Amino acid sequence: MIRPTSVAELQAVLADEKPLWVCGLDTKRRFRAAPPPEATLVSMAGLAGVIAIHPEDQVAVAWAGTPLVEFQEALAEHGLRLPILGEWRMGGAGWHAAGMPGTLGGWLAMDMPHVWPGYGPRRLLLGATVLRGDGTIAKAGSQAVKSVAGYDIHKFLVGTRGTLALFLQIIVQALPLGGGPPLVEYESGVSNGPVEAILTTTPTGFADALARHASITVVRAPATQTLWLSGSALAGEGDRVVAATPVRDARAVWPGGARVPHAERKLMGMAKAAFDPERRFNPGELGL
Amino acid sequence: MPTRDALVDAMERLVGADAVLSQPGALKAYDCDAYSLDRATPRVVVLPSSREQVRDIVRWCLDADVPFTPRGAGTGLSGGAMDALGGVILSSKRLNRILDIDVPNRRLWAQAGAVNLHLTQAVEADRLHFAPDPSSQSVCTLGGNIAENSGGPHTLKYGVTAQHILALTLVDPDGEIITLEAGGPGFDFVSLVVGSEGTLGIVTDAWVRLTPTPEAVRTALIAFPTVAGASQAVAAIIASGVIPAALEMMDRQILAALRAAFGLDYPEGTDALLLVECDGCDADEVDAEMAVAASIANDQGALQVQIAHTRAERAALWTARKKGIGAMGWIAPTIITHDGVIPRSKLPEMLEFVATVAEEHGLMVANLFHAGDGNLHPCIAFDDRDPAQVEAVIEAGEKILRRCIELGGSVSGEHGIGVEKIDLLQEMFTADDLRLQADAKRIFNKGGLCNACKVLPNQKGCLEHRRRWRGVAT
Ligand SMILES: Cc1cc2nc3c(=O)[nH]c(=O)nc-3n(C[C@H](O)[C@H](O)[C@H](O)COP(=O)(O)OP(=O)(O)OC[C@H]3O[C@@H](n4cnc5c(N)ncnc54)[C@H](O)[C@@H]3O)c2cc1C
Repeated sequence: MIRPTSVAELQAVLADEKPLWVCGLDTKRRFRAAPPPEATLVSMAGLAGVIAIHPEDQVAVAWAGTPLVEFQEALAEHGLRLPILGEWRMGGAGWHAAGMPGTLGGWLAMDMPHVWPGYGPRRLLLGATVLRGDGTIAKAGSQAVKSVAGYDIHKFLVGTRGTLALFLQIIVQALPLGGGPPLVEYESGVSNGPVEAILTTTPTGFADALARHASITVVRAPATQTLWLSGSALAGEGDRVVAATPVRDARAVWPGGARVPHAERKLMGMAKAAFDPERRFNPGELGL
Repeated sequence: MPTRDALVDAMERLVGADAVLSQPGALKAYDCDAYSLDRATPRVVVLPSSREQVRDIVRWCLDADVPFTPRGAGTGLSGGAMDALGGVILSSKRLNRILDIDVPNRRLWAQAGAVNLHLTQAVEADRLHFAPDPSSQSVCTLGGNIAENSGGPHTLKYGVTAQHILALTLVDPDGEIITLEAGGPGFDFVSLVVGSEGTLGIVTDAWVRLTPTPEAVRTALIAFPTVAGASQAVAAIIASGVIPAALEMMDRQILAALRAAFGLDYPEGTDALLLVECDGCDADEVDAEMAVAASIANDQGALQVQIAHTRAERAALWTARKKGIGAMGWIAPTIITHDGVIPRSKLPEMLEFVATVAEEHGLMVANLFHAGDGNLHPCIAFDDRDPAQVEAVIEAGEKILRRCIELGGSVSGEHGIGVEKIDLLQEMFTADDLRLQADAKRIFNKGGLCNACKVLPNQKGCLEHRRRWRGVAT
């Protein structure tokens, strides 16, 4: 795996013919598609470091390859934090929060679930500088906590799993340490193995999902109706645990991506064609 | 381009004669939104009442190569609902129904023309509300809120419209009806459509998130002898970890206008008022938060801290905030409310700059704004019958917004780009940045007909029309 330590180096890798299979610290591999054999594996973790923290504005700027743990530590020195949770791992006395593996860019690209209602990544991400498939660099957003200047590309890129452009630097809103509602409940020692799905539902869907997944629930966050699920029982079960009409209200992060309605699938193809027509980034991810 | 008669005929066939406006007098009312410096009269206004009618109108326009523009209540403040090229305006006036309310899942399905406040009124009895609360909420529409990603005083805690849209259906610029969901397993196209100012299609209906109405609310109105003191209090309150529901500031000129228009009075020596609202489900916790805010205010030299506990007392304290702009309207023939954002620590510096610019141009400026978000609304009083004053207002506004860019902020916090700020967007972003945005637009809108000449610069055929829009009021 190549680990560029400068943007120029990354651009040079991109200039090569081969497509790039991009990760941060590669901690979300099990939620992703498999890299195509011809791709160059690239880690963004070499483009790391906190660039600025403005405690008076509760805004921070960092390289996207910065490990979340490191970022949280830097924020904590200023009495701040990103209101997100880490992962859940089995071990010792049962499930425990395994700190925050991964990088800022990975957190955004995978749109990892949040546990503080109202503070998802699309609210926290204020701006970003990205690398495009043609090697150019572009930015969106600003350092202001609120902005409607043009399309919110940086927010749209959240959850696109690096298929459209790569986060280089990001600007996020941080919140004060402490405070906030109780966020998670544990379901310790019920199952073995890693978290295999993360499911977000509606309030009524949450009760249903809990009942259906009583034996495999790892952790639950009632405030955001999020479940971390584990166990082979999930394999092949399909992409939705809770279905309700007319708003599909369940989200599962599955290896290779979940089923997407036809109209959105078509738009995803058009987004790929508009942003990364040469398919330079993560070909095959999310079926693109 | 078909003749006007052919256009009217076609529209009447699609939606019925009573849903088509074509008389010059009627069309005049649609020549601008609440940003009145640019105007263009549409050829026809159509009032569809279903998704299918919207689709049929759009398809007809595509076939006949006629530009079309979605419009809600017309309260937009950047010219977004102006029909730039003289085509068809699709008004959402008859798409105003609430279609479903799902209380257990805290969501509501409404058509795009539903009025913002009506959404909240429909679920008030269940102690829920639709959180985005622009000051225009008694008239502005859900479709307009989605298009502008509108905010309001309570955005500080509850977030802008984007945080409250679960799914939406739109007729895309190719005339297809598509439904998009936020947070689904694919890309989140909702996050792109929200804030796209009607350039990615015409939203016909949406599922919105409902927020529990807080049990306990405390409001304080705090008088400061200096703007700097008030600004420092804002920064200190935020830094303390308290997230107020609202944190709004009004300056001396607003107070003078309130005094002149409504006889309202504030303590001697007040140069700035801060309105702080805290809310939550536990009255003791909310009281504790308010105590923190009050003690910070006192540390910053507050002259007076008034705290309201009842609904009536709260309403009295909100008067200054809610009537401020109206008061300005009393004392000047025309006002224009600018909109820019900066990191909030830059507030004192920025307010000083605004005052200097106004003075340079001989203009009266007042500030009433969302201080907690760093979202400024310099409100300039002028006479729009005087071309020299119009010119001065435009220049002063641009200087102020340029400064916002320099300070790391943005040229718009909630009013959008529309036609007003296209040039400034080019100062905020490089050509490469704008290409990224143009690529995003292209996902939905490859042609030049759906709300043409808005948001992005250099669209085909727009430049030659610009001079025509810029008018001095007659
Ligand atoms: C007194 C006053 C106070 C205000 N206060 C605030 C405030 O506090 N916060 C704030 O954010 N804004 C505020 N505004 C601005 C304005 O009210 C908001 O932008 C509002 O959301 C516009 O809604 P509207 O229905 O009037 O939309 P319009 O003005 O009719 O349209 C606005 C834009 O939305 C598009 N649009 C409308 N309907 C649709 C649709 N169905 N599908 C796609 N696009 C559509 C239009 O093409 C246009 O680009 C204020 C305006 C006034 C006059």
